[in-house]
Amino acid sequence: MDLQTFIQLIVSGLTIGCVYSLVGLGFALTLRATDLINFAQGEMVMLGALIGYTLLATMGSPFVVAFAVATIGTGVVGVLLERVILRPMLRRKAPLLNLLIATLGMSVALQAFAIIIWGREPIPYPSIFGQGITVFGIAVQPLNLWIMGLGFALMAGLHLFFKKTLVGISWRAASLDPSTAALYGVDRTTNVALTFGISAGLGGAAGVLIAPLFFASFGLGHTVLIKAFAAAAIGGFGIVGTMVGGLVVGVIETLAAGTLSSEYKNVIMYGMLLVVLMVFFRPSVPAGRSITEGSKIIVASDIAALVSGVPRPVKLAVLAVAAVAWGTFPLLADAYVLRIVNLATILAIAALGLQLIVGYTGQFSFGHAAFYGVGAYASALLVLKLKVPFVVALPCATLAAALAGLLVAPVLRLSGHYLAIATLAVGEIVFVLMINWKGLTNGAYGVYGIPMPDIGPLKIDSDEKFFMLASALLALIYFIAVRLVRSRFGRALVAVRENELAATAAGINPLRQKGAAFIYGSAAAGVAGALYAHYSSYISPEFFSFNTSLQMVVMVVIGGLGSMPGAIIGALVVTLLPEFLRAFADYRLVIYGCLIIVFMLFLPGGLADVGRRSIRFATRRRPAARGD
Amino acid sequence: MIRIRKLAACFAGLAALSLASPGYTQQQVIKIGVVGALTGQFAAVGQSQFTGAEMRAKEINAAAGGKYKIELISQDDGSNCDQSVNATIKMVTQDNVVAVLGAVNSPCALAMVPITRRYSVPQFTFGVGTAITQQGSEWVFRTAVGAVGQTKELAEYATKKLNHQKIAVLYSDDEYGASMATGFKEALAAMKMQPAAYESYPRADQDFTGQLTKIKASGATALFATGAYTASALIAKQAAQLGLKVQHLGDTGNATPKYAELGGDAVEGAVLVEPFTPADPDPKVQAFVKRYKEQYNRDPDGWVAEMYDTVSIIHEAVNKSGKVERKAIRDHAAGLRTGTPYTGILGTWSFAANGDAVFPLYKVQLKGGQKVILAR
Repeated sequence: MDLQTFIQLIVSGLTIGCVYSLVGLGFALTLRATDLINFAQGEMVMLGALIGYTLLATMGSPFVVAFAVATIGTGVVGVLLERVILRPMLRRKAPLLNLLIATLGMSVALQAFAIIIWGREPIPYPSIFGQGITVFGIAVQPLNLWIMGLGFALMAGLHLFFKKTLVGISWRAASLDPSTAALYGVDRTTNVALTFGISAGLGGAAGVLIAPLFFASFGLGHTVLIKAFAAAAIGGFGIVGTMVGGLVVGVIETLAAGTLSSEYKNVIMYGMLLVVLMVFFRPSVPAGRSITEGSKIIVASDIAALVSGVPRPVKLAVLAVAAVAWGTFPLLADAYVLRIVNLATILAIAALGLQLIVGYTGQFSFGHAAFYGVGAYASALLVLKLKVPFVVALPCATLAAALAGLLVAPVLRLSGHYLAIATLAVGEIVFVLMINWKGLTNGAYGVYGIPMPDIGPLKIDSDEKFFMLASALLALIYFIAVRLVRSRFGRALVAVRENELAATAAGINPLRQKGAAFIYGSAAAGVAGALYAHYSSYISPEFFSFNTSLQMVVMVVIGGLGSMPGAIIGALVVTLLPEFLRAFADYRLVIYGCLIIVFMLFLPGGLADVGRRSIRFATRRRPAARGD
Repeated sequence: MIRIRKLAACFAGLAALSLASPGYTQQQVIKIGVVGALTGQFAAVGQSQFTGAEMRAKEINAAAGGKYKIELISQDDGSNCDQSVNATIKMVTQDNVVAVLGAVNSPCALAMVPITRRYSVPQFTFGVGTAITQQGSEWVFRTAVGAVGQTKELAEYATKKLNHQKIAVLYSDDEYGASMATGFKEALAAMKMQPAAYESYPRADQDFTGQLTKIKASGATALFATGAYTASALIAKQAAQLGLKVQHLGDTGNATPKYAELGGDAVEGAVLVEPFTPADPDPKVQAFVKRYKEQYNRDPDGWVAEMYDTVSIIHEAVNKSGKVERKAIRDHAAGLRTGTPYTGILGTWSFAANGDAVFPLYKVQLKGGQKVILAR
């Protein structure tokens, strides 16, 4: 490759890198001030782009004005979101994971609003920058120069702000040590509000800058989100670091696509990210705040403990009714309801696994769908290509997923946000492998014609029979999970989650515990994946992407962190929701997003908590009245 | 869900009116389900699918003396294949549709094949994924030319008529892009040629400068970019920004007017294949274009025409057999072979034994935002 091409790639890489830097800065600032990863940051980019478009195209303002207004506008939105949604949660010391999910809800709702206001179609920006010039054979667009120019100016301004202004310095003080800073009169609340305002504004600025490169659309945020994340991580979440990190990501990504392999472009990038994380960010001292700290997790089985006061015959009667209901449900339900329930059951198995990892062990896992996918492909390929019977394929698939979990387990040395990014990267890498390892997985075409399972002579060839199989497996996995968490192993997990140092002092090896939980969780996902493959008869890599991982996390959180029954209920709710919301058409997404936010604001313990409180209420001992 | 209840009320009125006239017969309802992406990246395609069907349904329902009226039941799957299947099952078991149109995305159409087969419901889709008609189901009909057919015509035209020997391929790494890219590569191989560059991009990506720089270095004179039309438009723009001057080639995925709108100057001169084009001077086509434009405020595309003809075929099936029945519709469609084709807005066309549609493709070129027919 000649020098010219190489420099061209670098120039392009720097341009896009500037954008990653700006968005990444937003992440870094928020993280430093509040310990929170703001999933809605991508939507700030989207908003900036769309607001900018409205100003440029419909009002004909000059670019700099549009840039300024969009930046300030999104900043205001950021402050509002913090005020209305995040501040109440922060005040109540909500678990970090819940806050994260709340930002996710914001992200969905914001996208939906954008669709309603600006429509679904991507919008091209008016070309106001003119044609490019060629310098020594390298195409340089005025656009590139504007992006880099404004980007650098903004970053320089920010740097000065934090270094020289009083507000900036107080911000750094408050981020470093909020309580001490408070002693000196630095108000934490305004600090946080300021942080969100600046972060959002940065995102908005980035949006106006990239929109001419791409198109303004409601999905704009998504594409930059993860890479900006990576930029901030590589930069150690420091201000200058993130700026550099963004440029690095942009250049490496473009170089990888232009020189090595466009197919594996993302793998190279995420792989690099993982290496950087593992080498530079392994904490020598276990992390501070646990992501599930503040959530209500009861170690003993909720149901058993709460209903201990109920007389035996009542318990038996309830069980009998439940058994009858379970038996007759498939016969009474119509095909549509049955299918939804089957899907929910499959996902519930995966959710149980995730609950073990996230709820009990307190570890972020945003790549759970990868193991789900491994199980699905393993079972599908074994049955189709090697003619292995399902009874053998299922355990093999479970093993395959567990093995994958074992391979990934080393990333558990990381903690907190770094682990979040690492699991995300793992998920993405597996996704790309599924698409491009064509010899094994048939690539993007997917695997079709997967037969329904058969257990020896018994053929599971109907939805009803599948329900029996799936629910039986769910019961089995649930039983195993509950026994696991009630055992010494389970208590050790909680110990590690609550305070890793103390756990180590008590003789527990945190890494081994985390690893074991991770492997068990992945194995459960593998079982679910295998079931899914045989139920749906067609699987394709896009079923196992980050979106699915996110969905699973939402299931666990909505169900209630640390509650096994909660995971099942969460799976049911999340599967049913899109079907219920079908009637609302365009407003579906808004409602979905708002629901998530409402849950996080008012039901932080999830549905399991609601359940616990109701059972407690119903079985409370009444004081002996009336003297009889 | 978008039900045409207004039309039902309208024709309750009409029916009441016709009660006065002798020879009044009750109108039977033909329920057709439409599953497709009405939200998400492919929303425009889903809109085309629905409006094409809707326009024909409205025309049939408005015709006086019709024994049957069409009711469309539309469901959004947001390009999520689990939802496509859920929606299909719902429409087939609860709404009792006699035919299903969809899905828009090939993998989702593929996911629906076992379902429509299980419930014996004819499925009509314009998804181009080759596997859709290779499942051994007699209930699936592809109302479009598949990836293999499209790329063969495009490759042959580009090499033989446009004289390009060095063609680069840039495809989205999903099923659609992969099918097209493989098809194109094989079509070139059949002519003893190879692509000058063969690159892919992750479906959600929007920055192609890396790949485009590589393509520029390969000396390619033409570029076949395939995937979502938004991505293809973006590719053309970024290519222009890099100073990469190539002949852009596109499959039917880029035939939507949105491609020209988004690509602007960058897609000027692009050559596309499509089953239907508003540029056709045929008076029948022009009348159709005018009617569509009046109702929906934009030009119709190939997807609109394909669904328009599909609803016509379903209606014709019911009329001929006298039964509003799934099997009758299926049998009628299967009977539209080369010897006994169907003539509609797409011209004269038929289904092959495996359910693939057989019809010629226009080669068009974008000139000044308009399409100019080069060949057919």
